[in-house]
Amino acid sequence: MAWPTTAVVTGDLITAAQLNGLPVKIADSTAGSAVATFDFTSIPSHYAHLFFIAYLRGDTAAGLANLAVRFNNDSGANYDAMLFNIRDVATLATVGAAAATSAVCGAFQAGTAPANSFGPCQIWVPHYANAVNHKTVDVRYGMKLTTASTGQYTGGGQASWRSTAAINRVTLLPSAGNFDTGSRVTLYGYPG
Amino acid sequence: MADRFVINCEAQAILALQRAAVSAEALGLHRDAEQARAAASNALLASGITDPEAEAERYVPLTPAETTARTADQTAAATAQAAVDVLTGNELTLRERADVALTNLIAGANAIKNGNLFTDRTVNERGYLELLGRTDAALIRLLLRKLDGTD
Repeated sequence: MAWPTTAVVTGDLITAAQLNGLPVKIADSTAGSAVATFDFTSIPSHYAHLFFIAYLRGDTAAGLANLAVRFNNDSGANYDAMLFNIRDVATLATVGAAAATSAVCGAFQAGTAPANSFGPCQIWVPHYANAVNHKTVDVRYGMKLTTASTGQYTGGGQASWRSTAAINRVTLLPSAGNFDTGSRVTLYGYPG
Repeated sequence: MADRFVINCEAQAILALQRAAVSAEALGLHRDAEQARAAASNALLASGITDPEAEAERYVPLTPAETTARTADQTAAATAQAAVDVLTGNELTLRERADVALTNLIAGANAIKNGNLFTDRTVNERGYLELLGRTDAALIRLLLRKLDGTD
């Protein structure tokens, strides 16, 4: 298979093999008002992996809120997680959770953070459609709680769902309040 | 109470096919447009979705049961977060905690010094060590030098 040697432009033909190797945007949604959840339903099963990229802010009157994820609307005590975050001081904060009712997947800035600021978050869900083994999640996130250097956070971690069911629905929830207007989540499907 | 923001990925895919058909038609790619239209039509029939535009993104009010569950979730999350705050010293950094420890140490040392409990530096050193239950002699000596004004 010959790959294009220049940028593809409208009208160019690319092969099915090339097309099938590209990630596909499944959905891209921006909250037009404060929302309780981002609830992705009817996720197709034919991709190898899912990738969420999020731009989040909460409306709760605090510096931050945690981001939690649920699969297939399962609110049972079936989630485990381990996260860390660091900032510009000699400290490392960690959060571990076992048998929780949702998977903690990071944190994002909220009501008392600098105005108009949003936090980035990316979530990988590898092999999400397999119906044999438990599912797992890899996360990166960041937040700006103040304008000082010590108010800048970055973190990451992993979480898992004790279920062999194929994932067809992913719900993002804030630990307090709502996702603020302007929060955006894009979901990509990655081929194998 | 804010709504759920429901994104139906199947409806999004059908919409994408319909838009691809329109784009292909505009580019004069009639065969591609026809294929995209057929794929969209088949997907629509298979899905049972009647209005992909409306169903691709919807704001759905929480049901009473969902509202109750959400309140319980967020209460549990707040409790868990409070426990983490306690464990991490209410988010004090290591440096901040060291500062607090150092301030306490200096206050204790000054109290002893001002009370003339010990008369010479060696006794002071031993006394501080006993008082604090610490074996960190280097730190104590550093503190003493600071108190003496020799450092």
